[in-house]
Amino acid sequence: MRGMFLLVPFLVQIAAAQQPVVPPGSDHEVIQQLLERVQQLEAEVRELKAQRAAATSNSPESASRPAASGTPSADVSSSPAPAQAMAPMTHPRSVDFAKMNFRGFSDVDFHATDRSGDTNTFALGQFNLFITSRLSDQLSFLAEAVIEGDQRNSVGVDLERLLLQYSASDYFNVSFGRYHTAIGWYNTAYHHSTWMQTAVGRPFLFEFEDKGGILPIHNVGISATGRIPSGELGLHYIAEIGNGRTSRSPLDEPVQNVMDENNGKALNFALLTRPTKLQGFEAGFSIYHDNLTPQGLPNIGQTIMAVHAIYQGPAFEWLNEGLLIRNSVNGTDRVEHTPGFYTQISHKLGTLRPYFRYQYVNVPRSDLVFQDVGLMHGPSVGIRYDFSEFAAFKLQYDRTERRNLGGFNGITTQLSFAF
Amino acid sequence: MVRITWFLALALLILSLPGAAADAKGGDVAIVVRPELPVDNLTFNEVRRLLLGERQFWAPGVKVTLLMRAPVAREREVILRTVYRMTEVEFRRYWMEKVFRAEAPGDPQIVYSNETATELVRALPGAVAFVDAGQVPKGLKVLRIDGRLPGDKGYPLH
Repeated sequence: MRGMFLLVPFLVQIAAAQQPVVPPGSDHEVIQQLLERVQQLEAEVRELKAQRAAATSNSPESASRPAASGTPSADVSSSPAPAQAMAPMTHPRSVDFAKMNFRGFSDVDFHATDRSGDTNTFALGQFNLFITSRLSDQLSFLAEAVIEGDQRNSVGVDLERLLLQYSASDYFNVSFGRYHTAIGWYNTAYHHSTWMQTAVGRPFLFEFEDKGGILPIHNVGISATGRIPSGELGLHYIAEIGNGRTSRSPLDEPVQNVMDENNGKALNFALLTRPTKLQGFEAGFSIYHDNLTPQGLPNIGQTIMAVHAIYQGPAFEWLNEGLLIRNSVNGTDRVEHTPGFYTQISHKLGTLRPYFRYQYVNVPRSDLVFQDVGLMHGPSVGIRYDFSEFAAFKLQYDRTERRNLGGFNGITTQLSFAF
Repeated sequence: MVRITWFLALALLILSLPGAAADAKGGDVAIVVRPELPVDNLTFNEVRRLLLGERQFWAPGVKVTLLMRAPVAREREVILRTVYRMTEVEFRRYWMEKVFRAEAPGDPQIVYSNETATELVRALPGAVAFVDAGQVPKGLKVLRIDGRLPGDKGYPLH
């Protein structure tokens, strides 16, 4: 027994010899990793002792016992199986199957504005629970559930994403459920996490439907994605078919979760490139089409064309997206166009990241779908301070000009974090 | 006396483990897979795509399982510096975002020793580990990078 006490410092020394010196400023997690490694080495010693005991034993029973077989533990941090267990297996159990993984995001804000009718206010952001689970090598599940307050201060729950994904190969992956429509880049880059975004919020163009957004941000249906054999060009495709956005009445839930109001389906196709030699760069376009059936109005064919070119390096970031919404009244030659774009640039300086965004959207007064949006444009400047690996403070000033309504100013501070 | 002998024997046994000396001297990091995997050579860009999770299948039905050493391990430091070109924080954030964007079902699996890594490579078709070249056991395949094996001049993972 005393020998085991002697072993502990010895094992610690071995562990230290195998690893580089822990850098200054390393945190609790690193210490935990080292402790786990010590535990693992101890487990290895136990294995070796067992093997040594078996080797010195001359009993006929032990000599005739077959080699251990089976699958290594799914917990990769557990003690390794004996060497005899290393034979290839026909049906190995992989790691982490059917284990649920949680990740969360949230934020707390303060917003002040001189916009008529608005008040200065503290505000809870979205409380976002992101759940993933690998069901097999080719099957996985994800969900994004958001708890948030509305304009009347009541709190509700939204299932923002729920997807069962099947991966056949790098060239074909298919997902079933509720997803964020692959229109442009921003919508599928940040989903419902403010912490991941450089700025305080989304550009006008990509605002959520229940916050006055003009795009079909969410959709329920089927989405297929994959690589296109293209060498270092890194081409990818996305093809989606879903219920599309509610159009019968603006009072209805905008996402058609369980019942489509018409038989037509929304189609979306996107093509993008991520060149191997230019890590962080992505460019692409998408085209979306749906048939809207507003009550008391003729049907409207809606086509949304979007292009983007973004670069996100370790320090420098430049996001550029533009889109055109084309609403055509069926059976007439009436067509309304809504153009919009934003550009955002930022550069990380240590823990600080100053940023600038300019955005523009112009919905014609005669538009049949979003007459109340009108023209909105203006700059935003801000700074993000990452005071922890998983928490950031942001301060942003916005100037927004509107057609015939005058401009207004706003200042927002935000504490956003991941957990 | 018996106890001291046992202790010395055990100490020698542990020191004879391939990892003890190899880690300390810091050799090349080998890319290790099962021998039946239909790949022998990767370009450096292909290694990069593999580690970035942009290539997730070796062949249809054979999923890539990345096995990464835990933080503070030299192998992990080499991979982050030479292939990812990221800090530890950037690496963690990269994978958090990748999973959040539904571009990968999960992070690379963390392993706490090269022995566990190579053991899992034997057990899981499609698993790929990044271990000290001096610790690759017999029966596993070491992939070439641009035609070079660990120890060759110009081998990039060191």
